[in-house]
Amino acid sequence: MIVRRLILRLSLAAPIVLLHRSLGSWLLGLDPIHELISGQRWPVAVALVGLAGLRLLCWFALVPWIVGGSLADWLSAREAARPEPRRSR
Amino acid sequence: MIWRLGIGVLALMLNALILPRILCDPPAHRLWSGDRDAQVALADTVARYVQASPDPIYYHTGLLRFDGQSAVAIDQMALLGLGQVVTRHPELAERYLPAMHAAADHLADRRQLTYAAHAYGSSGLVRLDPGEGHAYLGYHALGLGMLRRIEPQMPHAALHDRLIRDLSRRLFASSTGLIETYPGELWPPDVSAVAGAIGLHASATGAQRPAALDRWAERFVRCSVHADSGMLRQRVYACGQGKPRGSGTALAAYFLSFSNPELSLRLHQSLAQGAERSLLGFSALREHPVGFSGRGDVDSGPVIAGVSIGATGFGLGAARVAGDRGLFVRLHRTTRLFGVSMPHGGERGFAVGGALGNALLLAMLTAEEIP
Repeated sequence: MIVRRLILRLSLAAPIVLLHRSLGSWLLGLDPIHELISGQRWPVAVALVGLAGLRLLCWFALVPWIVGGSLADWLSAREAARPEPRRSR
Repeated sequence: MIWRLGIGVLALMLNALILPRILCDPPAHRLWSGDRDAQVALADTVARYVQASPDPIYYHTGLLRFDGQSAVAIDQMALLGLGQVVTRHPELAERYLPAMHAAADHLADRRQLTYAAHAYGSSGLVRLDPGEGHAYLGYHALGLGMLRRIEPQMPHAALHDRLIRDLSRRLFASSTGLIETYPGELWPPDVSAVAGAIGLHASATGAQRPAALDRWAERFVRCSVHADSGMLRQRVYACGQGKPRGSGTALAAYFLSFSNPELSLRLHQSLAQGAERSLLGFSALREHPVGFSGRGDVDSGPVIAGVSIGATGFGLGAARVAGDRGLFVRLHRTTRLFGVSMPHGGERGFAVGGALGNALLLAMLTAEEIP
């Protein structure tokens, strides 16, 4: 169960990281300032905003979500596996 | 469950403290030590941008002054940055000289100075009449000086000599240490570019550094440095009048490293002591010192929570020339986060910076420490 959820988290995180890198690489291949002034204004504006959001997500949220989430899953499982205390008569 | 929330908050905090350091600090230390691969990856990006533009104007907004000034900044900073890389790794000269020549050709092209010609009636590349300042030419002369240092027989050597001769005459004759950038406009950061260009010209041509630079610095400090904050006034309206600003101070600290190292270190000190703001190990520099306020402009970029992109980016150069590794690393974390440093093919650059941002950052990240 814990491993399955970890794999699910990793498989959701991977495309976010890949999208972040691809978007950044695409913007670096052109000059976003030039494009905003006299080129593909809207696609570049959307890409810049998206890139900023993805950057914050990748640097500050993904690792805590994966590591913290897995740790919380493990603690929950441990608690659930603990035998119930005997009831006194 | 409450402990689940606690784990989440703890993970977020630990991550914010650890992950950016893991991602940013090794590249910052490589850049600090002048690592060849780290410098080449960024230099290749800048060289590509410069060589891709046969036109000396990069951006066509219709605002004559912005279009011209941004083009001058790109070509000057590309020359300074690439020149610093080549100075550190002379075997790279062949790789970057074509881009440096392209940038120098742009700077020598009158079309780049159409905005200045409108202000003065003619571009300073063509003619400097008596009484006119033309301090914007300090950017041209500094860029050309870096190419001259690499290639003494460069094609624009005569133009470079003429600019330095005319600017020196004006600068050293000024009782305030200031000369006009445009009619009626005194901008100390531009004047520091003029002084830096004079210093670099001397070292590039093997001439003696003019002693007049020291006497000039005393007059310049009296009128242009704000006594309480130690920061440089961005624009001076009369001697000692004008707001001190972080972006101009940091840029001047970098320019003056070529001519007046003591003044450069003094300006860096004012930034390091009074302008740094930090959160979770990410630092940025204040645009306005305590007691001053204002909005962002074309020099500072956006000002958010009192700190500006301009002051922070130029602060990297100020930290490097002063040998302040701690400040450099902390500012670099912020630059890498918000500039979105990314690989692209074999290159690496700042995805949101374009030609302008990458050229500025190359010059700042590879600036040479004052010996």
